[in-house]
Amino acid sequence: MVTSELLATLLEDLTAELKDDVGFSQDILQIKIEQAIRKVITARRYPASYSDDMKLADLETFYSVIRDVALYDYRQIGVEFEAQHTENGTSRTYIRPATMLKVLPIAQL
Amino acid sequence: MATSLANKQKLWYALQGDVVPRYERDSDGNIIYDEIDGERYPRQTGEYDTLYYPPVEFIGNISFELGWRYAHVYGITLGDADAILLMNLHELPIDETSLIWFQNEPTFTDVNELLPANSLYPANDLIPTGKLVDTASANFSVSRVLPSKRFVRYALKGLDR
Repeated sequence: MVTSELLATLLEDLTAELKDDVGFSQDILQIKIEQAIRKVITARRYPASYSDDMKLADLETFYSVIRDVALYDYRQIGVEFEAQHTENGTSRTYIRPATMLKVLPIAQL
Repeated sequence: MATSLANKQKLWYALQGDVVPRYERDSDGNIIYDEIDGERYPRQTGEYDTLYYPPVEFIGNISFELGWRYAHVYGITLGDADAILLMNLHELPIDETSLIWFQNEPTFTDVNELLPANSLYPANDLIPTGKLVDTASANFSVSRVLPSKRFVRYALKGLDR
């Protein structure tokens, strides 16, 4: 996969941040990171002329965006797609995911 | 899954096993046997011990907020509940006989005596030392199980420790 190096770095960084959390699962975290990378790839709309190396170099510049999206998705496990969630006396309100994905397409038709 | 991972905390549960009789012992701690028709039977004291299966770790949403709207779920008064444990439906096998540990790990009692055959130790063998869970280390018993379509609320009653 073109993004394996980036994936490994993100997995290492987020694992260091989340490893002490109750119920932490690195397998699920990896899925969330892969999904976040795919979201950025989709949003960038790479032209056909972009090589794998060019895509990787470009994705590196979106490290913090991918990290934030992956962390957000991981924190929403169990309450996916909810804007707010009340449960057993605890109430949480979530920001809109779109506000994190600040990625402009390279080219637009 | 429909409960938030971010709200979950680490707990343990233990399911109740068999209720077994206690045996009478002599001053050296040996079991006293009675012989009936050539067969030896351990003499029972008339008291019983409740055995529990080894505790299982799990994560769940426990809350000590027992305001009116939580205490009157489905119109049922939770009475003297001390905490509410919220889980997804069918996530845990616990019922009103189970024990719950929270913020302290279960400990095990030193047991080195013959117990009657039971579901935990069917061979009627000597239980190895340190095998039996110490029920006194548990924090809660389950006083009520309140299932809804997607969740189960367990009303927990604090135990004197």
